[in-house]
Amino acid sequence: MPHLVRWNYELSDFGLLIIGSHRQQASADTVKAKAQSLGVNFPMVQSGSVKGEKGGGIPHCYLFDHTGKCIFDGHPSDVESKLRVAVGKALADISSEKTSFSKSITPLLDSLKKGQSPMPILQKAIPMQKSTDTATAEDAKLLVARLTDAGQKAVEAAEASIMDDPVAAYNKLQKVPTTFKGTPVAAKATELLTGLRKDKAVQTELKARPTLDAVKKIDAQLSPYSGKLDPAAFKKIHGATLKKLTSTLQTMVKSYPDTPATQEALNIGEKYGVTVR
Amino acid sequence: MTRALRGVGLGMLLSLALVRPAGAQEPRTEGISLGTHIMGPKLTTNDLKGRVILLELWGIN
Repeated sequence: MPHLVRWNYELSDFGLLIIGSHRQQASADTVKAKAQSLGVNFPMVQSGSVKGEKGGGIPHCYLFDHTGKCIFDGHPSDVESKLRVAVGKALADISSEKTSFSKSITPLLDSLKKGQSPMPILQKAIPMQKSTDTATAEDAKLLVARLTDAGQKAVEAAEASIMDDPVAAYNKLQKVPTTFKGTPVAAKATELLTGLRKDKAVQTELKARPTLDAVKKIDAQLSPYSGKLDPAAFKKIHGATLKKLTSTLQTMVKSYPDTPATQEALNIGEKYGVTVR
Repeated sequence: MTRALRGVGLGMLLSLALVRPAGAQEPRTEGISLGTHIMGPKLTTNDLKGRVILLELWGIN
């Protein structure tokens, strides 16, 4: 799972969509608590599938390119290079009308097709938009537009939810200024984030997050031992840590009720039988 | 020699077992079923179009 979290963090803004499908018997709450404790930051479903599955054990993954074709079917440890190339090839597909590009842009497109990280390539393409060579400037604009496409969509989605759910809008925008630095998309996201930081719900959520981090640290301490002992023995051995977890959760519920951070912390607590309401 | 032949035979059997049966559908994005939402952004099949997708099948146990 940590590899998925890393890939999602790096590449979801460049068109990668990771879907985790839980395929064992467990309640949604149990799966959610486990996924949250692993830092899962992508959509998770129960019993998601794909037509044509061969069956077999888990973990197992399917990689689909941007045309819908399955290009990998196997163990997740073998997928990374193919995944990077698939994301890069989709991004390098910048024009349906042109087949060749200017001399300065071609190496950038080749780097993408080889699976190199899109973020530094974007930073190289941005100044080329102002090139005195018209062909280079035009191709650079096409490439920058393609590379910032997901960022633009994130900004639009955040704007749509800003009134109903400011915290969700804030979360959608958080990475945009860094990932798309130097582009109009980043400037727009920065402007929206500045406004959102004045929102009361966002302010409370931001205050709650350091305490959530503390809960996550406790979770990391307890997690390796969870399920290996019977509940009574677990409580006896880790009593002091569980007490600390309980008091931290009580603080969160009292100080930051109804925040997503508190809800996430409560889910972690429930994993260890700590219920605070 | 016999052992080598046995190894080849076993390899062939294993590859036959892993090969998709004739006429079986190749997986494609359009064939993805999203199951029941647990957490994260709620997706629709529309969200899958034109995206590079990694579908990871896993379990907590």
